[in-house]
Amino acid sequence: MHYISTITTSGTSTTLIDFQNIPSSYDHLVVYASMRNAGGNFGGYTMFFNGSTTSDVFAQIGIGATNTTLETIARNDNIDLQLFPIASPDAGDSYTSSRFFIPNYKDTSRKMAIGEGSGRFHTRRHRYALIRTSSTSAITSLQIGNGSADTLAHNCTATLYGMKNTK
Amino acid sequence: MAAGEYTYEPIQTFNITTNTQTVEFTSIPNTFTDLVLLFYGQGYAATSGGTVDSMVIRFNGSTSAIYGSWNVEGRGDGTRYAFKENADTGIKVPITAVSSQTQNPSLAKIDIQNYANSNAWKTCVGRYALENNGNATFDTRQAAGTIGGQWRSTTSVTSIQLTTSAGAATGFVSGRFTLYGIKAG
Repeated sequence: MHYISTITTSGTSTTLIDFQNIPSSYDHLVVYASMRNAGGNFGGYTMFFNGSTTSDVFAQIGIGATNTTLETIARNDNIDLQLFPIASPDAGDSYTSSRFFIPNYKDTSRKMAIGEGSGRFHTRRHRYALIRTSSTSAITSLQIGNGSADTLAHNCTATLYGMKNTK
Repeated sequence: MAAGEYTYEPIQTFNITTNTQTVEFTSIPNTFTDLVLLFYGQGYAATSGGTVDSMVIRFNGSTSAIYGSWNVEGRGDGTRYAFKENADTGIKVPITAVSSQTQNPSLAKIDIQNYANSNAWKTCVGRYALENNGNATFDTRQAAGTIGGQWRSTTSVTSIQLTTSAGAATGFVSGRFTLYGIKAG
């Protein structure tokens, strides 16, 4: 796994963590993120590609738990911008933790990614989900957020890694 | 971590574009602490539109019924599912099985711990996802899940075989398979 870059939020006006100009020299991408919102309880965030939250059709499927309640994420062909939990200011100094695996990101085929997010917002939640886009475009940028004006707290951190199939 | 530093070292990779019954990683060095297996592709099934079957993981060519698998998954229809098999001939990971490689992909990332140890049974833990939008006559499952597996042998793992179960799938119609080693320190 090859370190590409880290983005850390530093202000209160940041709405997205945005990795631009992702190099095409890898075969797969991995992202680890630590997330917290700055204001109200906007509940969650997701990952999307090439800046698009509307032109792609997403299927999101998964399983999770909120507090002690097991939940299933039924297929949703519209992007769920609050798919993964994000910590909120009423939860002390907590941040939520997540990881994403995005194979074959530069292929000209539909993209699938698996993501896992866990932590405390106003409830405790753990979610594991498939994200699939109908777009066949190579992924050149990757965004983490909920696509609205909701802002991220300072010190949210996401790190992007690349993986190669060969040395 | 400094830019350019590798933690996953590619050991071997296969890019399958025609029907292939078995993929085998051979001569796995014992110099790593753990192994990571990546799969992106489909099993082969003659059914029109596709179905869901299993990729079978075996170690050192062993087909003895000393493997266990257990998983939990969420499905696109809003249901959830759990599975356990304690005396099987391989660790089973759900994948799509289709007649054309343009259809319905699946992916898996399996971590195999302590593979070179000669005193412990071998275990693995992984994640998988699949989306089959095929013929409703068959399994049109869309799912994301986590899986655990065990090989009840203390033998060091030196090779890994990947095939499909005796269900609908007969080998792979396409797939990218990569085995990584994780180095300590």
